[in-house]
Amino acid sequence: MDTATRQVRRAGHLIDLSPREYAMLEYLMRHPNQVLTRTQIGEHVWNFDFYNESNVVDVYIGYLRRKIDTGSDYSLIQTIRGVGYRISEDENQA
Amino acid sequence: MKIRHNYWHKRIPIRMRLALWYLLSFGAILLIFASFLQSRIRKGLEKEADESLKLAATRIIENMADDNGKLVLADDEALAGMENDYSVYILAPDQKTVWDHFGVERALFLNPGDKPGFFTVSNRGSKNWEKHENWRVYSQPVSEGATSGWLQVMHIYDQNNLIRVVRGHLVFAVPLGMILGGIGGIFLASRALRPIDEVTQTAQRITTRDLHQRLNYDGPNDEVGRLALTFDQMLDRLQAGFERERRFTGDAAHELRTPLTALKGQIGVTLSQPRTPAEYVETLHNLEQQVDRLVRLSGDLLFMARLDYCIQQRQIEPIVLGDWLAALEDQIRPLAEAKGIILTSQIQPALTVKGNMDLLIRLFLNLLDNAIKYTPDGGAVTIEAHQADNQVLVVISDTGPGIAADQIPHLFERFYRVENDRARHHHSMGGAGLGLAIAQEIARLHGGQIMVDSVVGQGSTFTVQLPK
Repeated sequence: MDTATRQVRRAGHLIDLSPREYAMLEYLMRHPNQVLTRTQIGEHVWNFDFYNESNVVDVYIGYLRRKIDTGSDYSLIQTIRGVGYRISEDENQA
Repeated sequence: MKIRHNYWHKRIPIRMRLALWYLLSFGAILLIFASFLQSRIRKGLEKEADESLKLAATRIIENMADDNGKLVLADDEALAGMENDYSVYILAPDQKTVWDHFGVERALFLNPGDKPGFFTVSNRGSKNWEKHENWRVYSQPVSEGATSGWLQVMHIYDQNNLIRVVRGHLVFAVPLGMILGGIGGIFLASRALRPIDEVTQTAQRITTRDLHQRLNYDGPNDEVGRLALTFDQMLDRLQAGFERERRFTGDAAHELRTPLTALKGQIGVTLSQPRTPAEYVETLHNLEQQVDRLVRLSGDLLFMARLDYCIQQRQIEPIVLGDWLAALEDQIRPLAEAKGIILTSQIQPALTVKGNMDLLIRLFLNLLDNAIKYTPDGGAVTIEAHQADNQVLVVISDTGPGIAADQIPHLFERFYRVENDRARHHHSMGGAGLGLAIAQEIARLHGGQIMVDSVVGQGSTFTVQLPK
């Protein structure tokens, strides 16, 4: 992830993300191996107009995951059931 | 809002400005007319004088004779009618006078040089002439046999006197005309602006409490007519908006009050006598479910109230439907599995829509939630998406009880609930009646719509139509 050009690559391919998806991914990546709750993600990415809608965060994560996992054999973003999401740098943890 | 410039002329009331413009153009026309008149009079007088000089010269030339190498007038009859104000000279080629006739004593000999034609001489520098006296002169070379010379005919030329008189009149007439024009301008401006005053007065009587009043301007479809019509149309929209808002507030208050009253009743009953801890826990569980519903309802209300504002604030982005609907499906799958409902999807590949993802998630989650809520255990919900013309159609079908045809038109109204709504018996599942209204509003904000097709006893199909 290049925060200056806001470009995201995985294994060399460029991934096209909307600003909100980018913000979400950046937030997850800045807290590697740390579980972030839906509320934390929501408040960070949506700022003031987030109405505690965990559904929306889930759908975003699902959509984002499909975008960044294309052509990879493991999922970068892990769901921690009942808590939230975590991004893991370590492939073995996946 | 425009920046207000403090130019002086912008501060003059429009009535005065119109009158001033009228006065200015009227004055300009008067001045142009006056100078045109003056120049026409001058030209006309000059032409008349020149024609009579030319006529006199012709008569003299016809009666001219050669008297031993001198040109003379043979017959004095040629001078008939030229007694007054005329002077005639016949000159030798060396400019010496060989013959003359004075209609007036004080006429002066003029050296014509060798230029034939007309010219005007004024009195300046001569004691013999009266003040303001001008002479119009005509010269031409003449010859009779071998003898040649110059003929010069002069006539008193009082053109300037007449023009002075005309100008004297104009000096009074033009300002008088301007004053009358100014009064006329003020009158015209007042006439033209009176309908606007009427519109303003009517508009002042219309307040927010009295929005049903209209201008109903009774006049032609001119500038004022169109203004009044536009104003009425704006009032229509305002009134509709106010009424919708008032109804919405009333409905919302009612929707919040009913469950709150029920909550209060349950609390009262529970508190009326000592209970076992198990009973308290059960009551609290019940209360929690109802409070959850209230939280959802108030969230929906807030969302709905902000929807119009939101679409302007939020970004529109292209959404790849395949992946995105699959993400939505993942979200809804646990609910479906809990009821043993089979959830399937068939999405045309490479389909995209342009929209705001936050709002569209709400739209589809509402529809999918409803589909699962109303489908009996063991039923099926399918999602299907394809392109038709310039639109993308997402079709969500269920095998629920269906919706009666007479209820379909009301389905998207706020707080509307299908009668005999079995889901309402379960407090945790019953919606506030806002889900479909919100979904339709989101579709509308995206330039699309939601259509319903239903067969009672077989199921319902909701088709979301979105621009590509």
